Amino acid sequence: MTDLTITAETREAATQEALRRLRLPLEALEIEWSEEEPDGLLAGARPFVLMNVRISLDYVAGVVAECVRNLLERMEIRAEVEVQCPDDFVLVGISCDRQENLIGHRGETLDALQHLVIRMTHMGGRDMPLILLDVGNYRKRRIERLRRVARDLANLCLENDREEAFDPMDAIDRKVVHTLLKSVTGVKTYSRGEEEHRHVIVAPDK
Amino acid sequence: MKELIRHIAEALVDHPEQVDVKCIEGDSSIIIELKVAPDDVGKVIGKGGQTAKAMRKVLSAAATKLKKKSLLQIVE
Repeated sequence: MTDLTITAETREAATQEALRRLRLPLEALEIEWSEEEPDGLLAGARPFVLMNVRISLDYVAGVVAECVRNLLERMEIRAEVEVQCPDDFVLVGISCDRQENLIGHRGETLDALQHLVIRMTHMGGRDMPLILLDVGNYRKRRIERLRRVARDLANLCLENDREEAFDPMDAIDRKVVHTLLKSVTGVKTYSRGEEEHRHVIVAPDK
Repeated sequence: MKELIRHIAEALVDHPEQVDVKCIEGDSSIIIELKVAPDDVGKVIGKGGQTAKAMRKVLSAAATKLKKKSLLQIVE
């Protein structure tokens, strides 16, 4: 998830632009304003406002939790749903009976549920926080494993001042790695390769 | 099962009023037929068939309780 910066002549115009781009209601946005006084070459030009927009994690968490509850109800699964927002993720924890049925072979059912919830809530955009579903800490363990590898490779990258490559991973794991390494200074990440060979690269950020 | 697929499909499409779901239930299997507006077909199938695949996975997880095989067909 990235902050969105918009400049406009008025606060009203900036707000309209943000709502149009993000397709979210106003209550979903956390907004900071700063007014800029034109100077130098632009002196005498009209002043403009600078708007910094973040999507409220609480808002996303609320919408997603509601969607998950409705979905599980229709699957006739009795469950407790609880949302946390660590590391800028929206992590939806589900506790229920027969958890292995909801996780599926290598997490396939959990990934499927997660995909549907993101599509159903229309929250898959680039500016959106990463939405993750978890059953019985399955996803949490996967995140912690990725966190250890990410930390090691970022350290290697900084020590040797060269790119390091992760093993190929699916789209969800790659997004987790990008998000985890966003807060590490001195490195940047991107993905390379196609389809099942697609993998994350961590590179020195100069 | 029918309501599950209807619920998912209605949230995915632009024309929820045109979502139609039929269910044929046998002794050992359930066949769900999902019909949506022509310009919504892409939304229920998804990029590379990802969304249709996800619906099938979730449907079969819900159907294991009934000890039945499930089949989802998307018709135009």
